[in-house]
Amino acid sequence: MNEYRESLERVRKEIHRVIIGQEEVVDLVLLALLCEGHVLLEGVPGIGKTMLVRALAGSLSLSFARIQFTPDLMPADILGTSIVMQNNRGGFDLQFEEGPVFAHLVLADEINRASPKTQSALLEAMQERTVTIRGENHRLPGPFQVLATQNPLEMEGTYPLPEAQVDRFFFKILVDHPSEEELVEIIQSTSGPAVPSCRPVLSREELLALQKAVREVVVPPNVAGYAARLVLGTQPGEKATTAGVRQYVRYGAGPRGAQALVMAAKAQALSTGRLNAGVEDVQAVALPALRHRIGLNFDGQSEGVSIDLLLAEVIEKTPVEKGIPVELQEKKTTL
Amino acid sequence: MKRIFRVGIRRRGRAPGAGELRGRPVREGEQPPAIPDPEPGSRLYVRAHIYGLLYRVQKRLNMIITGVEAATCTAWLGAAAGLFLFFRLWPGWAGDVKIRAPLFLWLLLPVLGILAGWWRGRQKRLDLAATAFWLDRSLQLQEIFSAALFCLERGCTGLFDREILSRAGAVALRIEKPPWPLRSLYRRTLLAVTAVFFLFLIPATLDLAFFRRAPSSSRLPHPPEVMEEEGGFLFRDKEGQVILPEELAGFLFTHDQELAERAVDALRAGDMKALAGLLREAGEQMGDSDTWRMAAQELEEFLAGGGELLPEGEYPGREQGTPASRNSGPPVWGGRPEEEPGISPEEGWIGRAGEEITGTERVWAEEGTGGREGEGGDETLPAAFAGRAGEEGTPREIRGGGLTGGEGEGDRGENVEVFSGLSGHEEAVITRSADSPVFAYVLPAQDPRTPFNAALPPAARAAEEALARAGVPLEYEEYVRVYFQELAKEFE
Repeated sequence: MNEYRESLERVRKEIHRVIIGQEEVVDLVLLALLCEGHVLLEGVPGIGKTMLVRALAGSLSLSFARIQFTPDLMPADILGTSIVMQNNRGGFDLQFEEGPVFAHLVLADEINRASPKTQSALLEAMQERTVTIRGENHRLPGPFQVLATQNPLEMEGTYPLPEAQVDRFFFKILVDHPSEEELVEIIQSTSGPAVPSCRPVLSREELLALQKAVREVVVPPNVAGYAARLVLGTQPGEKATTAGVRQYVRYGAGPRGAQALVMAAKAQALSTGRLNAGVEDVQAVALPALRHRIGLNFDGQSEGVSIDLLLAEVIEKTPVEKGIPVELQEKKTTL
Repeated sequence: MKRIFRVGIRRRGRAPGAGELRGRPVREGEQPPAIPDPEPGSRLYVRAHIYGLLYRVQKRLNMIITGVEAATCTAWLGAAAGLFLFFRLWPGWAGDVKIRAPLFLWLLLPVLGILAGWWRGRQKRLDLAATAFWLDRSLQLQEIFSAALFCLERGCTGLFDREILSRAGAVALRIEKPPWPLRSLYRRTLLAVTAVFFLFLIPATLDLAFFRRAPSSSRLPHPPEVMEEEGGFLFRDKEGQVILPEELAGFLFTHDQELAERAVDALRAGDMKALAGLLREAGEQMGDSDTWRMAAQELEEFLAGGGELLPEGEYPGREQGTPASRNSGPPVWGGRPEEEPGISPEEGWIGRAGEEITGTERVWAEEGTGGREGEGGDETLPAAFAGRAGEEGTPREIRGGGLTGGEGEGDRGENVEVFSGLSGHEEAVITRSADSPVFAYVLPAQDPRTPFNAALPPAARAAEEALARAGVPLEYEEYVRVYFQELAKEFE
């Protein structure tokens, strides 16, 4: 158990040699990696999203591929294509040339700029972890993780991901601007003669063992029940939801969201050296796991309601200790 | 509310690990205690400790839940009863309304509350999983016991199950005393207790009458007997004591002065049917109609048997001063001076013990003695006004009847006791005879010619002190109080 924690600590430290600040983003990306989940990173350009993925790939000695999504990008540019090759007998055969998706870590930069057809091709690969070309299934290498980025500013000429496609992402992580101190440190570390880089500190086998260990982490029934109540609390049709959800939310998280929540809680517990997930673990990962699975109605959009605030209210008001009489319940934990 | 619990540390010859549990709850912003390193031990040993701890905590929690529910239900029932009494008594504070209910009804309230609380407690009982979760949350153990219980229930088939059990067992070993839930557990109970205090206990202290029970049936009239000597009819109670109309009315209708007055009129007029009707009316008022109805029925049977009650003025032997004619006047509190013939309102019943009473006086002529007539009239005073002051609080035998001019003199008759000097001013004389349980108080020593409106205040004070000293039987208290109130009204 301690070695799991130490392994993750090594990776974290190595990434932070290159990435200044953004501790929460790095931790969440690592958690998603442990859960074999894909991540949607949203942030303005130039705050280190690509650098983060590169650092992650470098510290894990995994293959890395970057796909810059443009409006003219075709599915074959991502998945690969069959090309005609001359064989030894003097004839011609079709050989499958793997696309950039056949890497362990794939950075899909500005995924919302590609056409829906291209997005669907990538998302299908993410979901199935296989690529089917001309009837042949080509399995993607494991571990496989897609880190897609979105620019929240430029909406013209983009193709926003449909809700059903966004739901396939494990986490949606909001990347903020660094603080003044962090910016100073970034300037000093990157403007000098030596540019830091990451060295591999975790092998592929160790990462696979970590991913397997995450699945072995125990989730007691009452914790699973709490996660379920949290997810149900995001649905406007539920009785035990908040007034804000009832007023501003069109649809809430579903079973895939609950699965992501519990898996992320398990990874969170393992990263802190525990072998069982608790209520605090669920609360710690609730925002990144659920924020992209909630859709606002017209009222919410027009009033600019923050989904994060709605979720925070749901987390605060969802009872932790259901089944225990009110007289014995402790004070509700708040974020 | 601050939680109070203690978690003991069992030291086994070595320093506790880094994960020593603190003896107080983890506050916000604090790092929860780290789980201590597991101690080596057999699987069975670890499981026994985990289950043992969980069962202990479960038992305690369920006991607390049931107890608190019982207390809360009882308190709310009491508050509801108090609310009912509040609205019932409120008009009575301006008037004369009493609530009477058998004692067992008041005792039934806590019994019902306990039963209701026990039933609600049963509904809220915790199972082992909920107990483990409560323990985890109370001690900020990050659900270690919940996970351990889950592993045990699935047979330890997971990769980390044994490790989790070892850790949970180590934690269980270090918990000597499970915590007590002391937070808002009692908030609802405190609210209910506050409600019952203000709605039940305060009205109860304002009017103790609703704690009173109905008068004992032993004081109800017994079918009358014929006085062999006189051939007339007198009322006797079950104890064989002769009762005068005013006394009888006072016994029967202590709760209602109006009914008592009407009863006196009925008794003096010999109208037993009217008395039976008054008894029924009293029974309806008090809600104990069966008892009163029986008394009314007995009277009616007496009437059907041809019995009658001679009016007071026609009691044989009155003029001779025999016991049967002892109607030398009701006790001081029973009569009204203005209603007694021959006594003017200004003169009243004043007498000084030990002095010759001239003017208006009455003598209670005991058997074998002659009455004494004072100047100005042939009325007599009760022997209570005779006698001399003795030692404070000391009963003194006075023999003989009539008025006496000195200590021990005379002929007041037997069974006459004098209690004197009770307040340093007045003297109380309690007279009894074999035939009558009449009690009499001597009014404070004053000139017998003192006008009544000047004599009334000290008399009222004396009566009030007697009531405060519990020197007046319970059934007479209201009678005395109302008597002086009426007197005061007359002379305002």
